[in-house]
Amino acid sequence: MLKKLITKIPQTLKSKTKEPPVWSPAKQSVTNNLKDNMDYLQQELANCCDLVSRPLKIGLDNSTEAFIIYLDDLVDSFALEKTLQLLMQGNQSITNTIEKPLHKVIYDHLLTAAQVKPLDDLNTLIQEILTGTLGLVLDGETVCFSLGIKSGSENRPIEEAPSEAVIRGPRDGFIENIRINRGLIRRRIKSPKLKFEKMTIGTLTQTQVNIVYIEGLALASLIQEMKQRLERIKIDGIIESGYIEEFIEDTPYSLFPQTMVTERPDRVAIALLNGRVVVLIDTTPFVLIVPASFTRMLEGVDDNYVRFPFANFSRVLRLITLNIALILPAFYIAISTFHQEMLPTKILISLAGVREGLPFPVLVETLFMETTFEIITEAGIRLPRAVGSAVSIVGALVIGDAAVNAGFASPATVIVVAMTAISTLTIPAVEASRSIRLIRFPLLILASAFGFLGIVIGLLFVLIHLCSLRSFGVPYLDPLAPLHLTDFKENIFRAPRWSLSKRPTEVSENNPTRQPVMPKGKPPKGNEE
Amino acid sequence: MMKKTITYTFILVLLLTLTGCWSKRETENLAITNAIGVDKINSGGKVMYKLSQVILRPRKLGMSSKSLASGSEQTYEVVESQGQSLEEALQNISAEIPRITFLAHTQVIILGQSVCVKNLNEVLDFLTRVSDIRYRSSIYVTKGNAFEVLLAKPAMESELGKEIFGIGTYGKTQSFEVQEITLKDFSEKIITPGLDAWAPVLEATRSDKLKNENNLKVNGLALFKAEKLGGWLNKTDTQGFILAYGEAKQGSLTVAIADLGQIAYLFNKSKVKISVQINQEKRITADIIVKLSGEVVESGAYPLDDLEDFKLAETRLNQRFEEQIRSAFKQAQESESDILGIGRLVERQDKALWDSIKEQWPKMYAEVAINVKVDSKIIRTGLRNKTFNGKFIK
Repeated sequence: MLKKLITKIPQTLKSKTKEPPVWSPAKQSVTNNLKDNMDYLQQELANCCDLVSRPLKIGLDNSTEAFIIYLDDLVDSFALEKTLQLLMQGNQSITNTIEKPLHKVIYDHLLTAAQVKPLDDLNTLIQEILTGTLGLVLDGETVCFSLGIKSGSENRPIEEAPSEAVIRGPRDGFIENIRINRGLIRRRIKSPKLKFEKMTIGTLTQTQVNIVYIEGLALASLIQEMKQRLERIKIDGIIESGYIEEFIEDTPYSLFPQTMVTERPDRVAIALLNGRVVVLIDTTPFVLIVPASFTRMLEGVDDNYVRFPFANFSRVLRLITLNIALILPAFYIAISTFHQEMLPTKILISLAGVREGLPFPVLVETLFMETTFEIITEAGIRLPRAVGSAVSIVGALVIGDAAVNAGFASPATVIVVAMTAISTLTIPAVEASRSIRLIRFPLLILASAFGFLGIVIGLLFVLIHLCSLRSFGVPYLDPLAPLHLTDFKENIFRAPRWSLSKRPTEVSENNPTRQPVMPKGKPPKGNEE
Repeated sequence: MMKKTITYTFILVLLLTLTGCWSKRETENLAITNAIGVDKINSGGKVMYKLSQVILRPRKLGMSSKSLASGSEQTYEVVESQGQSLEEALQNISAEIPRITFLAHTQVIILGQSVCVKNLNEVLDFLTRVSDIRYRSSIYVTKGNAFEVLLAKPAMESELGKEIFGIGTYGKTQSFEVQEITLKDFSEKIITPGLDAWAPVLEATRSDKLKNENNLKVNGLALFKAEKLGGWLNKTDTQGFILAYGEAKQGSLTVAIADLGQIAYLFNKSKVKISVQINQEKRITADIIVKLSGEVVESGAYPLDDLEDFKLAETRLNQRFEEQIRSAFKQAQESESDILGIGRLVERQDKALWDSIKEQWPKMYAEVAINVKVDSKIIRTGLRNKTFNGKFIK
């Protein structure tokens, strides 16, 4: 029966593929007739109340009919007025000569906007207009213009990235405007080798996507692969980077994120300097960094800014909390239902003491508390600011304390769940901590059925899966598997900055040298006073 | 591919629920046994094993101090059962208590005299065969019945096993009359030829000064001759043995020196070397050289201001220590219990000779002569270097 059901699903999907796309324009050439062009544009953009179009006469000595078309909400009104003023007043000293066509003259002398694109396709013009440019169509010419007078003022101010806060480090985060985001990266890497390649994805949304890399540092094959994967996307709309992430992952069914998601420009700059490729997407502050590795997910960006002894301390701490977050509840269940021999006597006695008289087995109790925590987390994300304190009181007091007092859960379970919850939050990459949260539950069930054996089996499955994962061809567990001991000093630990003369090997085959060997500071010798 | 994955995952998940929780036992359903006592008794004409267990009541123990203070209820229960074999006795207990017997946390095993005399092999076989019992558990022997010892009241601790364990563990670091032995060491010593086992003796005494109840005390050692009880060492002999055995961590001795007064000497370092010499007539002599270093912690009126005084004190101490060791060795020889492992040393020295005398070793052991040399050093006199009133009697 199951088999039938499975075979049915793709069939039903297949039968629905033939339907016309909503809007996929072919080329519509600009004609000599101004009226025809105007009609076509107005017909295509009918019922768009934000559209403004008007005819005008260009102020040359033999006045030329033309018309402008733009979307009111997207253009900068000041720049618009200035452009119009210049167009209509014109420059009477310039005469239309026969050598030069009209549009050439206008292009050379009248269009003061910096971004001017001559176009011969009306549909391309429509797309340009939709991004906020001013369309100018001339009478008797087969060339029209798109003038870049986009307004840039309606942006959220640049704020600290809320999902990746640091104590030391830059406080700016990406915002929803790709132009500002590009600027944030460019301000950090002032090199002509920093490239932003533009693509447009989404048949309806026409979202701008940029592939960012440092030429000569990022592998050409990696850039090529990224372009290919992005070109394959034929979706109607890209709203957030998550849309793209799922399309370009190597193993789409994996629980683990195979791209690094960040909203910090400094993290992006660090990744670029290591030879990674970054995907910027308009309308979202979250950018994608590939290739990603699991060890990089455990790297807080401020590990690079604080002094190295403490950076190492916090990295080791995160390795410990990773293990706690993953296996502590399973370990607790296994040891308190199967392996009581392994507990010290005193702990066993206190455990047995608090568990006496409780109604549920440890598994149910732990699942109950874990679920409660997940509910509180979910509520914490969704809740409006005003009820925040109410939720924390309910979470901390009512569920934690009252569950113990009422005899539903043992204090030991509450400690275990709380410890796990806090440990989960120490993992810097939110996506990675989500996958840890998901894997915790199967491990818990395995532990309750087979004890430590179950945990080991579960962890082996996870490990095998992690070893087999690739992110854009780079092993996910790099540098652990395959083992690259030289990369440990940057990817697992954090060696002093002056000793990191080589870039990590995973993606820097092109140009492995970061700085001369050991340029560390030393006091001058022999002239002490 | 996709189909297969889904199907297999589904089957796996189903399988997981089928197993249930295999051999699962919740913590609160365990009868945590902390100490066991083994006896052989005569009940109704049948000789039976009697197994006594100290089973903890975690609820009373695990609670914080405030709730414990409210009721002076017992924090443990002593359960006894009988059986043809020890396993049978264990099975019979499960008919009496509503929990899963759980021996893995047994810290102390007490052997009654009756077991030590005759059935030690069977008991040790059981203790080392069942996977629950830890090899690290301490072995104690009692003169009399083990279950009577288990009825004693702990003086400080809340449970009996912990009390006994504490006496052994902390006692041996402070005084050289207390020593403990693990099940592993004990059974190895029993089966090793040329080396005999010993175990500390546990007594339940009525100390009417403390409370009107029985209290526990470690008093001397039980000596074994192969797998049978051979004899006993009293307190001072035990000190002598522990000294020669090389396990003395710390200990004190008070000696009076002629009519000059008395000093108390506390050593905290000891080093022992035992070697055997075999002469032409195959007479065996054991040399025991003990080196101690420590300090004078009490000096009533004995002067300690020049080197001669120290020399005199050290000589006197050496004599006393040597006497103790000789007396302990003599006692061991009488019990034919080679607790210092002289036989092993002979084997190492002369394998051929050992092979020929192996059979009659217990007899030959009784004739081994010993040379004891103790070298005790006074390296400090504590925080004072004169007697309290500063006067010297000399």
